[in-house]
Amino acid sequence: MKFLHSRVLANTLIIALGVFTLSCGNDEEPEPDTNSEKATLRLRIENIDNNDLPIELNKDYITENGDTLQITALQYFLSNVVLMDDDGGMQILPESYYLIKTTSESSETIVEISGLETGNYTSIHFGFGVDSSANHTSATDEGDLDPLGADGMIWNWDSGYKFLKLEGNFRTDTTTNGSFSFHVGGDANYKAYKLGAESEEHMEHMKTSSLNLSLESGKTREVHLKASILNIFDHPNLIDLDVTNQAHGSTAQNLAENYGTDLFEVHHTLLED
Amino acid sequence: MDSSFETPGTTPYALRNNQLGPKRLEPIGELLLTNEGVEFGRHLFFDVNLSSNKKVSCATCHVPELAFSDHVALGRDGVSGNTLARHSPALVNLMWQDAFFWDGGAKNLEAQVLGPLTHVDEMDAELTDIIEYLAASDEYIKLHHAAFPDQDIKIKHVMQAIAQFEKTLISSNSWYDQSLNGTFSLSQEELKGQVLFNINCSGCHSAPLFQDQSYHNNGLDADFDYGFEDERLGRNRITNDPADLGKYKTPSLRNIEVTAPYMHDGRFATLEDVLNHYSEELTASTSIDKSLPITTNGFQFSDEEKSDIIAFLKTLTDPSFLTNPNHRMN
Repeated sequence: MKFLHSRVLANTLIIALGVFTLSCGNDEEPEPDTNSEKATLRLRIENIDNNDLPIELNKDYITENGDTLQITALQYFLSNVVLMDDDGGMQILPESYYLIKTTSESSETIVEISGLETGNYTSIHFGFGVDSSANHTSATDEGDLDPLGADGMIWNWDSGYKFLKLEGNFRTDTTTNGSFSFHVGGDANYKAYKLGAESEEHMEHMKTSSLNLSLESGKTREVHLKASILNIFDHPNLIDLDVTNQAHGSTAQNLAENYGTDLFEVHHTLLED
Repeated sequence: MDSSFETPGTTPYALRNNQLGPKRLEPIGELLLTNEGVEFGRHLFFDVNLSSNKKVSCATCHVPELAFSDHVALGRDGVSGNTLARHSPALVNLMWQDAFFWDGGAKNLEAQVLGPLTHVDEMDAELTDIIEYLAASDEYIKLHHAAFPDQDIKIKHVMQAIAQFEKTLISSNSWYDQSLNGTFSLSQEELKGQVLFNINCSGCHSAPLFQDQSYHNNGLDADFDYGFEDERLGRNRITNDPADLGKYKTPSLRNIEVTAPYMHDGRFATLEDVLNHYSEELTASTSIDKSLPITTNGFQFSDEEKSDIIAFLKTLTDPSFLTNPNHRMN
């Protein structure tokens, strides 16, 4: 994994140098497309409710357990995005540590990655959380891991990233004015996702959603992933907010199992010129 | 994982005394020290301007002449003025340690830096303010450029530089070390204390670090508050293992003479208090360390034995460490 990652970075560097040489000799020409041989991927990650609508902050949702909740904060890390084709070819998206947020304005996070190899990719792999080799350094500027932009997603007492920050209010038959705060992390709670070809074969809990991603040179292709956020409260572990409303650290395995199971699906891929 | 840390244009820091005792110890974690990185880190360590109220630096609670500890049980010198939950530990021989904080919550020194830097009751720093502050200072631009040539100022550089400086805080020239080298002779009292220490204390406080990189419940309390994220849970706060309740990282005893008060909450003002605790005041609990003689409430040292042990502990004082000008700012 590490080796491949650095190979991707090295390729990027060589390409950048080539473009630099080229542009120096062509002062009169319009600026060349710096990635004319390369493709661009736009990842659109959308947090949705059970009705396929964008999750909104401070809105009432009812969980499988019958609890009524409002989400006031929702952030999580996706990392190590890898695209694979049917022939075993793969490319790792460099520095792919993405902080996914729902804000009062939007429930979508959009990331554009340029300089990618063209190809027909049939599965996308990524992790929920931060892998153990990156999790405990925090002396990094890779992707969204830079403490400067990590926006309260680093613990200052138990070094590592919060993989999930999910906070809000709830009411049940017995609680009229409760609040919940789930900050989940820890190496064992890093969950691998594979969406696309042969999903069931390798990971039995994963949804089978197909991927047909054709990256073409000079073009941008979009992959729209949807995350059914309310799954975190019921699938496969039913969360009773009267019982479980605080989780800080690496001990909330039931919540981690929930965000590691069927949270994501590929909604569509879209080609743009 | 970060190869840019090995930076061309910088000079390797020459560790003059990177050996503790006769046996060489392998450093743990990142040890690419450069003169420029250490120098950048030294300035940062002593700079109150990193804190939100411009009054608190790392050195506020880690005073060089006190082996980088402070004199109070639980400090109140942070930005908020609130009493801190734990005693400020001494900073000694950090490059041989595998975890930081009393409960080992920080897995490396670079990550540890973020804790006190951002904690609301300590330096309460806004990371964006730190970057702005450094970028507006000619001196820091120079220091940063020397340490990390041709790079933008990043928070990771701040973390790495402070950690680099802290890794140079090596104490290996105590009276005890000099006695091993044959350049100093321990007194009869100190030698008797050394024998008692080796029999009773060295299981956890093992030479040459005088700590064992582990966590123990040393019989301070009968039970522990089960509060949420409660500092009194000890190591259990990190591992969630009931066996770790009330366990804390064994502190090094090097320079112990100047690092009073003692224990994770500074409850013992003097070494005499500490010896009385281990001698006859141990408190039983489910997670108390098995090597402690709990059935007799302690080791039952005589007064003479206590004072002999204390005499030996004072040979762990390293005057050259406490007065080292490279560990200071002016």
